[in-house]
Amino acid sequence: MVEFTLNGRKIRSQMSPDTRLLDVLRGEFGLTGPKEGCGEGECGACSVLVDGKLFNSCITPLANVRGKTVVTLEGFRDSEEYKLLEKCFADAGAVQCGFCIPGMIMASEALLLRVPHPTEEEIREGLSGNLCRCTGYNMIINAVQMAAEKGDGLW
Amino acid sequence: MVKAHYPESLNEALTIKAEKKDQSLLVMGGSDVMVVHKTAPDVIYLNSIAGLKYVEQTEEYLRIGAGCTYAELIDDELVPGILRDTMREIASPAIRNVGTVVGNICNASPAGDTLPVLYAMDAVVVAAGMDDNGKKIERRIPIDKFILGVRKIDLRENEIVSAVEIPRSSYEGMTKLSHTKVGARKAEAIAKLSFAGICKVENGKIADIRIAFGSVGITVLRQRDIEEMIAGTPVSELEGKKADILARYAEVLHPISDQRSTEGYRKKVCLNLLEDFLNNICE
Repeated sequence: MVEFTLNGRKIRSQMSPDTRLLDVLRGEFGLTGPKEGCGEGECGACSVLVDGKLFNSCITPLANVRGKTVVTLEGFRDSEEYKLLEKCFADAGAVQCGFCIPGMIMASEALLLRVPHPTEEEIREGLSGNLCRCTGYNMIINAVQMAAEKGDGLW
Repeated sequence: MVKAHYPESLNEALTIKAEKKDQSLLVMGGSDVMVVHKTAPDVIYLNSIAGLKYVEQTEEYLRIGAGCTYAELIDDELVPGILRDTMREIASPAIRNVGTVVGNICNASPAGDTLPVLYAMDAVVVAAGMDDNGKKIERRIPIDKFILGVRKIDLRENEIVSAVEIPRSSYEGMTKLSHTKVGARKAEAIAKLSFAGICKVENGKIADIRIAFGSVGITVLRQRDIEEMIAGTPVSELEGKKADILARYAEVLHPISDQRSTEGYRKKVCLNLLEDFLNNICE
């Protein structure tokens, strides 16, 4: 049994400690924001925040979040930061098929928490672990730039 | 269901390891073991051990604790610039938040990103263990003796790598420190090949030179005999010696062709990087 805080609630997972955090989130708690793309930490579709830092939940053993705070897209959705990111992603036309977007949003949030006014280069680096098979990178970068400008003081 | 252990100190972890021996698996960030779905009846999760998260300097060494992630080390000014630059190019932000330099060593991949730089710096691996009387013992193993082959390391069944030590003389006072990783893209790439070169020019002569290549064999390639031959050369005579140096490395570089690159490309680019390093030694 592993205890941790998930989207603001203290919870206990019944799964084996070596289970991938991704499987715990999706299978045990029904959170489908994090997605499985590559399953080996290369695509970022499974991105979550662990104690405010970006993690790939597909290569994080459940045991490693024991006592920590995990936030998925679902736990972030009601915040002002999320609402602004959502609007900017829509306005920039950053969403195509959408599969990578929950991960992109989490990576953007992790970046803006660290660097509230990133340069284009910093945005590209911050999102470098997130792949978009539709290859809509420029619009995604624009969306984060827009959010950083409009969200002045939010992060 | 595996039996998970969450030791909070190195001693506690060593006690468990001494009891469970090869029935147990050590996990820090997990980014390598989770990809290959490696597990064991007993898994010892080491990331609750606050005592393994430190960077400290002695007169001789910089010592990096096994719990330090790349992201933490990149931000630590005690860590040599060449190693921080190398870590900046590893994988992605999410992996740099969990991956550790000690994990990179213990994973012993021929393409381990930090390895050429650590070999060039004569890094020393600190393996902690507990003897039958419950007394903590430490072995210090030079990195080129610790890594035995592909995913093979000289770690005994009762041991845990607690730190890596880097001699300060291997980077302080050096005049040229250079590292290049050649991968298919800027992020998330496994190296096709990599190069590390460290050199000290003193009184117009090459006083110290270290050259290491990664992803060109089962372990990092470093040829001390060739380095010794170069050492002592006046910088003004280096140009004349260059062809001979390149020919000697051409003789010992035997990369293979695989899904990431070809033998010919690897060898050619390694020699080009070496030539570039030699050309720029005086800069």
